[in-house]
Amino acid sequence: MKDHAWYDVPGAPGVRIFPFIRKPDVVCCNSYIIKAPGHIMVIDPGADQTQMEEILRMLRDLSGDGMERVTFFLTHCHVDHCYALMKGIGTSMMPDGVIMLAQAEGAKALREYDEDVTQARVMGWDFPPVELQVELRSLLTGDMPDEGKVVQSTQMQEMGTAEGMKIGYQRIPLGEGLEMVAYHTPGHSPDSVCYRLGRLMFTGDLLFATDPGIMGSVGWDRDAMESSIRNASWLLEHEGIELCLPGHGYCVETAKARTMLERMLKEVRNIGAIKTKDAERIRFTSNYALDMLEEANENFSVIAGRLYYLAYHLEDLEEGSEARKYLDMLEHDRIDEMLTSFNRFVEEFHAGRKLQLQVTMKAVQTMNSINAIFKGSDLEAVMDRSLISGTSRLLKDFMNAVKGIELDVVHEERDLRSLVQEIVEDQTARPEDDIMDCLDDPERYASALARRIAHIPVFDDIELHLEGDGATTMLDPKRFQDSLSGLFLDLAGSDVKKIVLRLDGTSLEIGTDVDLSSTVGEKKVRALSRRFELAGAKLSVIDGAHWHCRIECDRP
Amino acid sequence: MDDAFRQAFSDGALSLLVDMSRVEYISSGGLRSFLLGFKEIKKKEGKMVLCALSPSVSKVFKLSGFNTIFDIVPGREDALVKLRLGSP
Repeated sequence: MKDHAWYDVPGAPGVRIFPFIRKPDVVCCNSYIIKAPGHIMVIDPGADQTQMEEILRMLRDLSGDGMERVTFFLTHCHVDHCYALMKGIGTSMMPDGVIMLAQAEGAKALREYDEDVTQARVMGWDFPPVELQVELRSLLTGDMPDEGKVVQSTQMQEMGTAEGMKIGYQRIPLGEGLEMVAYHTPGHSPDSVCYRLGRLMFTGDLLFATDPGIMGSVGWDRDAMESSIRNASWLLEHEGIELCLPGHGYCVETAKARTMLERMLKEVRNIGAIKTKDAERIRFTSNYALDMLEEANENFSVIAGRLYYLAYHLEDLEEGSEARKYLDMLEHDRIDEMLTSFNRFVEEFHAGRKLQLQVTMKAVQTMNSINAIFKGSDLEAVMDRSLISGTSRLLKDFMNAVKGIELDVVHEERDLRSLVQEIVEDQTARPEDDIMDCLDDPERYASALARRIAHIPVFDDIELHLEGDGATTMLDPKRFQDSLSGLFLDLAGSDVKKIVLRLDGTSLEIGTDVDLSSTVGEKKVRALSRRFELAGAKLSVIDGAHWHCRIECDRP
Repeated sequence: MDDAFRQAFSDGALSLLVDMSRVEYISSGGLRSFLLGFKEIKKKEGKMVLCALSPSVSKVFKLSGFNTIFDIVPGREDALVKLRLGSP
């Protein structure tokens, strides 16, 4: 089903549907206009004013003499699904006598203008409290709608599934023997429902409720989500559904939707407690995304640059096919395009045209795509381990931070002196050079040659001094190694000629001979501090002019 | 960048001074453009000198080994001297 075209609704003779399908974003959802005999319906009018105006124009055209009933159905009360409607209620733009229908918990949130449950606070939007005419009964609380609110005949029922689960559902008569069925699918929000009309299922945000950045909104319920996923999968199979019409993105055929639900079930079963995605959390992840973008820009430029450097020298040695092999190791052009697009998006954010939540979501989309490319590459043979490991960790930590899950930190007792010594040796070591042993084997020779060229001795011109004695500390050694190696690379990329590492018990001081305020600026220090903190250490800059910092580790 | 190099070569330039003072960030695509430009001028037996790299661009050049391929000097005057002297 495509955007802006009329289609027959399968399984509902005489009923037609007109979808508004948008590129997925968090500021507005897809909307669907449904034309049945004597009745026009809209599923989730969305938040975009232009889209709403178009919907209202179509409603006026379709109503003709104004005798047809108009009902707005909400899949849930998040503002991206209903903000334009909430703003329009009571104004001259709305036709008379429209009915609005939502699940009871959502209706209550809209009636009481609950900024958290409706997500109005995180979006920075407000709207007047709105009374909905029909409230579907809440399965979570068991509350019945107040007397007099129900203007259509509805009755909550339960159906059992083969798995022994119960699905709450409610039939909503539409006249002429036609009905909409609402299935309660809480988890993403307490009031989430899916609507079935004929063989179509309107799934709201169900199919991406466990995605990073989506999961964990106020009202998120892991256990309810698990039940809803299982129930939805059962419904798709047993209710003869042909197509799922989601709240965001393209329509999904039933088989694919069930595969998505299976993946979601695994995710939701594996996930433990997560942090609630409230306004504070969104500010945190948005700032994290902005810091990370800067690091990602730099890391991927360096990684691609090293492959170009290697290919350039191999071509000079008339090893063109080897050069091509290394250039093809990473789709750096695609990564470049994605980062460029993200950089433009951030410029729009700084210009006030994008929201913090959108920055986070754009970062998730970008980093997911980059991670898929980066994970599939095989760069270890020709790239510093610390560069690869640091970049992988950068992407993974960000995604986990957005998900709101605890990061994988493994603290153990380590002697600080030996750990720092290992890291220094790892940074300054030369790769194994076996080129003389494989002169008779062209393939091995080509690999050895590439390894030799690929080694870029960034520390050769820098004096590295390790002084003092360290004590036993409690930290995550792998994270500490990535953090310190990353800091070393930052220093090596500047004009530093001398780095002094001074150990004193559980603290490590790093002093340099130059002013690094332009290369290790505020954002960089914030990113470094975040990394060291996760490793179990605290970084503080003592002197920016002759760059000098202290890394204080925890005692066992 | 590619267009700038193309234009310079079509104008017959054999000595290129690239003033980077207004470049704050270089992507992998930017690095590739430099390398393509460099190869081209090397083929023509010309010269290219880069000057005034910002700390962040300089860092990427150093960590990716590009500082060993390109002739990089602090300022425009130094670059002009290099080009006049005909350093490789």
